[in-house]
Amino acid sequence: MKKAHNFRIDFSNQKVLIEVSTAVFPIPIILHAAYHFIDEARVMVEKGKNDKVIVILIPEKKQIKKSDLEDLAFEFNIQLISSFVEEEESRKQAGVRDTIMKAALLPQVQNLPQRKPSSEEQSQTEKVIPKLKC
Amino acid sequence: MLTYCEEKNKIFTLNEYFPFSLDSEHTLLTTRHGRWVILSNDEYNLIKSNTLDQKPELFQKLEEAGIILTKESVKKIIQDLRRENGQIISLPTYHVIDVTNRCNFNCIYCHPDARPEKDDLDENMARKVLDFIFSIPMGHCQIIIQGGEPLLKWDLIKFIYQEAKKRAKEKNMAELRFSITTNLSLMTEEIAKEMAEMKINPAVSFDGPKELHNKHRPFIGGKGSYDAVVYWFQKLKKDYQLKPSFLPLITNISLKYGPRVIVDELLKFGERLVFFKTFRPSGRALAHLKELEMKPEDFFNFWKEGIEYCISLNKKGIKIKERGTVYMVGNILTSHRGSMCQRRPCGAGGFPMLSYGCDGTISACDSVRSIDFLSLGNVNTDNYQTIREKALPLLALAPDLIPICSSCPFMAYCGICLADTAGRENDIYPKIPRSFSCKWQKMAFKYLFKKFLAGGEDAQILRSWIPSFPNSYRKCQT
Repeated sequence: MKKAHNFRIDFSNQKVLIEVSTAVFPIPIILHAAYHFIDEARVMVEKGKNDKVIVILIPEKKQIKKSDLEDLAFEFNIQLISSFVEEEESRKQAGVRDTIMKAALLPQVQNLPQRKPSSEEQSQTEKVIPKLKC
Repeated sequence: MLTYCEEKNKIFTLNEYFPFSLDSEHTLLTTRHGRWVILSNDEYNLIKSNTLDQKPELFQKLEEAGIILTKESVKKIIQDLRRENGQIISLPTYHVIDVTNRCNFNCIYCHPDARPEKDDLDENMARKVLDFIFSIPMGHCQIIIQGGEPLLKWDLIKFIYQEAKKRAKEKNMAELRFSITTNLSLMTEEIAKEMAEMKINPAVSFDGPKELHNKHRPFIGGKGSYDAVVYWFQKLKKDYQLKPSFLPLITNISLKYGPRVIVDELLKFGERLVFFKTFRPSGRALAHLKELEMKPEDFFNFWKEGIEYCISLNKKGIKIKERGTVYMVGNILTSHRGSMCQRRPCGAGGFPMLSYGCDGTISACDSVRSIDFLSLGNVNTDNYQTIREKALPLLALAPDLIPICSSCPFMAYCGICLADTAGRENDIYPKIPRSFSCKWQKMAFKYLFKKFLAGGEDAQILRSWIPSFPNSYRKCQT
């Protein structure tokens, strides 16, 4: 692997192997970024050495050039950062989002007619409740 | 982070927003609740640097779009979200009854894979289907009769119509709408007369010019059905004062003809609404997928050419519009959701749509009738509550909950079709990077927002296509 990059091109097998450190990017972010590529490439994610994860991309397009594989690896790296930022922003906004959604929907949900449990369900519940009490 | 805008004397915080670069000078910002705004680069930079207090008019614009959260804007956002998500907590009101699985046509993409040897709905089962439908405490209801070819069971349709009317009256229902989708080829003077008395305006399966229609929709045996369809279409209009409408489906075969000939064909019969609806990869379509399948960019180019053509006709005074665009523009400009398919999630599964097969099977929607794993139950064994519970996983098909969709700038406006996903992926959960509808809709929304950015007559025409819904307009600014 070249020092300047985090990827290795295996041109004879038409694939690029990208090494990502889980110390920098959490695994869900790596998977999220990889998911963006499932249409243009076959995607594999494997465990590498130490804290590393290897993402292997094999383009669906045939007769590709070495530069295509390089571009794919750079695109993946950009997507990785993008996925990370998206996740961070979403996490920061989660409180506001949930509060607004609850304010919008909860009063209506509470007004919906509630289903009465069937006699079978009722007896099941009754069996469980005493156990919990114990 | 809370900030204070001295000029406006308001405390505010930034809401979650999704940027999309429309061109080198403009960025579209959309929100989860669907309001949007198009900003210049300078304006966008003020948001990024959190120096909004320098430009009060921008503050107001962003507050209106719900990108800035203040006490006032939060109220509007809550209203928008209630309207848009109302369907997931309301009762199903849109019921599709399949009266037969038999058909005299051999359409290349038939969703229920109708064949002459298949079964019919009988009166006993029809009664049970109606028992199920009218057990739901809904205030209004729409019943859509489909098949196979429904006219093979005209007497049963009359029974369902009369029985539904009676039950709706008993329940003091505010409205019962009744419609039928037919190929018209089995129409007779007697049926036409009764249909006119019942005031049922049929939706007619019709795909455009004769050669194209006959390729898509031949009779069993191969003879083209065009002449029979247009004969009765015209006769119902002229002699019976009915208002039938055409319902075309678009496949790769249609793309070779282009949208203009389809629009012109519909105009020839006095139609003012065209629908470029893509075929669904289910039923018989799966056997012909190679021939029918379109590339998303090819369908987008077809759709775009069609829209440009419709706009040019509007400029000449011919008021034709495209139904799919009406739904998309409606979703962009209002909080009203016109189409079952353009919702979040789609209407399938009693949110608010259900479909009933000849054997009493209840499916999430009419397009998934032939997909066994999407049947929710049966009118013989289930009640509305159990069906609702079984359909709950379908709520997860809202773009808000799907990776990639959940951060897409067009999330609030698009629709994910359950039938499309199930047909292409054999799954209900779409793999978005591979999704046909995602790819073409993204291009379409970009095109539409660019039209709104450019303004002028084109944007005005597109705005004029959507019906008026009191209190549901968003104030969107460019």
